[in-house]
Amino acid sequence: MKNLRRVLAGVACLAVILGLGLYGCSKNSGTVIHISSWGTPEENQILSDLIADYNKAHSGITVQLDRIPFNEYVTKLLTQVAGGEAPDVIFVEANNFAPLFLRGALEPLNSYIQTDHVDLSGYYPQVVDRFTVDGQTYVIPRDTAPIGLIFYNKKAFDEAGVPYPTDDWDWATFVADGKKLVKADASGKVTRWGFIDEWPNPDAWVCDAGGTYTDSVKHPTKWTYATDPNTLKGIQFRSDLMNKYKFMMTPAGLTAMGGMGTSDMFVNGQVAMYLSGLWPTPRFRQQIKDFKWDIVMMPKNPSGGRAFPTGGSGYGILKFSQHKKEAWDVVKFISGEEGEKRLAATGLAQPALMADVNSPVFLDGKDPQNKKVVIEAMKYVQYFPICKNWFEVHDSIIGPELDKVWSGTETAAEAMEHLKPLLANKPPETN
Amino acid sequence: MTSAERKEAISAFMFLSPFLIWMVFLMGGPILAAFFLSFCKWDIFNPIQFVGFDNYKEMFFNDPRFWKALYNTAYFTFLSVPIGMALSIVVALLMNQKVKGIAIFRTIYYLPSILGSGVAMAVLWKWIFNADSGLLNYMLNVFTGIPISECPKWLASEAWSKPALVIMSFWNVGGGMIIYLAGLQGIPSTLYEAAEIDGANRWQQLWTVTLPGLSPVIFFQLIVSIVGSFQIFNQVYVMTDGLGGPADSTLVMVLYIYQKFKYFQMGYSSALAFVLFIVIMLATWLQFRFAKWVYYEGELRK
Repeated sequence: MKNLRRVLAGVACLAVILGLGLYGCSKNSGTVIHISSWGTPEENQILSDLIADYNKAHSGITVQLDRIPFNEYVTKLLTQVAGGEAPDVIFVEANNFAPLFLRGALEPLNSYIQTDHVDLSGYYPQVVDRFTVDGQTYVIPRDTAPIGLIFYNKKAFDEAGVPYPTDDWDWATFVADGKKLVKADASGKVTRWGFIDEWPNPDAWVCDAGGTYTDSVKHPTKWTYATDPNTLKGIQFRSDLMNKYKFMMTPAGLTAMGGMGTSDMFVNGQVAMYLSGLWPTPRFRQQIKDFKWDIVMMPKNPSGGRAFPTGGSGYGILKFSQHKKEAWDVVKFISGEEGEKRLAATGLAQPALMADVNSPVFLDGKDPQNKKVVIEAMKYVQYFPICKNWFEVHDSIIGPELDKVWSGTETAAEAMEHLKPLLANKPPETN
Repeated sequence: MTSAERKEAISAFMFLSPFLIWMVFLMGGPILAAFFLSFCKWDIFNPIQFVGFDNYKEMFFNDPRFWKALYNTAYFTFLSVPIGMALSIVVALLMNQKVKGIAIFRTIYYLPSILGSGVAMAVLWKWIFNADSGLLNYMLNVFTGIPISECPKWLASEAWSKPALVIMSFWNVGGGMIIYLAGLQGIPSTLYEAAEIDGANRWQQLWTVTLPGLSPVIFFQLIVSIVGSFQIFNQVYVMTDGLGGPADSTLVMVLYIYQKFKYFQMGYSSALAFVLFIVIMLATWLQFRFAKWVYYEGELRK
C-alpha cells in the first residue's frame, strides 16, 4: 500500500516535470510575436488568415493572435503588462490611443516607416493625423468609423407618409419626421419609436451641434465642454428628443436593453431611425427580411454645420516588446493592402486605405444603397482630445451629470453649471 | 494549557489551515503590495512613484465620488442586511415546521441561491426592473392599480436604483435560510419541553428559546453578510454596464476601485481598497465589541 502511494507520487512528479519541460521547449522554437486584438468573428477571421499566411512564409517567426472582448481590452492589456506578459503588437482604437500614447506605451514608428519607405499617403489623412502627434506616427491605421450615420426603416417612412431623408437634411426636418414616425397602440403604449442611438451617445449630438470638449484636440489645456454654447445645444437637443418631442426612447425603457440591444429594436421594426457607424451593416443585411433600409448622414445643425465623433483603429507596437523589428514586419504585413481588401469585402468597416473604399469591393451595390456617403462623411470627422484622463472625465464626471438631463430632472444649462467646477478641478492631463 | 485544550487548539488550526495557507502564501504578498502601492502613483507603463499620503488626501478632501461610493455602499448594506436576515429567519422558521412535503418547499426557497447571484441573474433582474415592460412594475400595477407610467423607474431612476439593488439581494434569502435551518435544528428539544412545562406560549418560546438559541448563527450571518454586501460588485457591474449609473446612484466602493484601475490609477485604487478594508474591519470589530447578546450554550456549561 505504502509502495503504491510512493509510485503514484513519483508518477505525478514526473508528469509535472515533463509538462514543464515540454512547455519550455514549445516556447523556444524561434521568435514568437503576440498580437492582441478585439473584434467580431468575421474581423478576427481576416486577421487569423493573414497571420497563417505570414507564418507560412516566415520560418523563424511565429505570430500568435490573442482575441480579447472590446470591453475588457484595456484592463486585460494593463494586467498583461503588469505581469510581464505584454503582447508585441496591439490593436489600437482612435480613443484608447490617447491614454496609451501619453503613457509612453507605444513605440514611435517614424524611423521604421522611413527605413522601409512605407507610403502612408494612401490612407485617409485625418486618420493618419489622429495617430500622429508632433510629427511622430504611432499607429498604422486599419479602418475609420465616423459615428454619424442614421440607419432608417423605409417601410416605417412609407407608412407614416414621410419622404426618405436626404444627406442635406437638418435638425428641424429630423424632428418633424421623427414625431410622425412614432406609432402607438390603442392603450397609448408606443410600439414604434422614431429614433434611438446604439448606445447613449450624446457625443454625436455635441459634435453635430459644433460643440467642443477642450481648447485643443492634440494639446488640450482646459475643458471647454461646460462653457461652449454649442455643446450645450447638442445636449439639450438630445434631451428634447426624449422629453419634449418624445420620439426617442427614454433611459427608463432602455434599462433592460443595454449596449447592443437597441440594434434588435431596429431589426424588429420597433424603431424607425438608428444612430451608429457602418459596422451593423453585415448584421442588418443578414437579419432584416421584412423591410428595406438605407443610411443617411446625421442632420445638419440649425447653423448648417455638422461633425461626427469618429472611431477607427490600427496597429501599434508596445514599447515593452523584445522583438520590435519583427513586430514591425508583422504590422507592415497585416496592415497592408491584402488585409484592407478583405476588410472592405465584409462590409463591416470602412478601410483606412482610400483606394479600397472607392472600389467595387467596398461599394458592392448591396444595402445600404447610400453606402458611398461614408466617403463624404470623412469631411466631418471630429476626434476626442488627447489627454490621459479623457475616459475618466467623459464616463465618470460628464456621464453621471448628463444622466439627470436625460431623465428630465435637469436642463442642459443646469448640468453645465454643475459641471463647470467639476471640470475645472480635473484639467486635461497631458504629461 | 491542559492537554484537552491543546488538542482543541490543534484541531482548530487544522480546520483553519486551508485558509491560513491561502492567506500567507497566495494573498499575503498581493495585500502587502497593495498597501505599499496605496502610497504611490503608478500607471503600470511607467516607474512607480512614491507620493506619501497624496492618494488618501485626494480621497478624503477632493473626491466627491469617493464619498458617494461610500454612502451608496453603506446605504445598500444597512438596508439589505437587516431586512435580508429577518426574511431568512422567517423563512427558516416556516421551513422548520413538520409539514408533509416540506423538503419540496425548502428546495424551492433554496433554488435561487443555487442559481447564484452571478451575471446571468443580474441580466434577468435587469429585465424584471425594466420600467416600461418589466415584471415588477407589471405586478405593482396589478396589485395596487398604480398606472405603469407612474411606477418607480427602478434602475433608470436616481432615487430607486439603490432600493432596486436591495430588492434584488433578497433573491439570496434561501442561502441564509439553510444556515438558520441548521441552527434551528441544533436547538435542544429539551429546552422547548421545559418552556412548555413553564407555561410559555409559542410566541414566548420564540423570544426566549429559539432566538437566543439561534443567536450564534445570527451573529455569524451578520458578520458575513455585512462583509459581503460591502463588497457588492457583480450585480452592479452587469446592470449598469460598469458605470454605476444613473448619476452615480449605484456607484459602490468595489466598482469605484475597478473604475480607477481601468483609468490606469493603480495607486489610487489600492488606497481605495485599503480604506474599504479598514471600514469592513471596523464594522466587524464593532460587532464583536457589542456581541453580548450572543448566547453560547457551551460557555454556560463551564
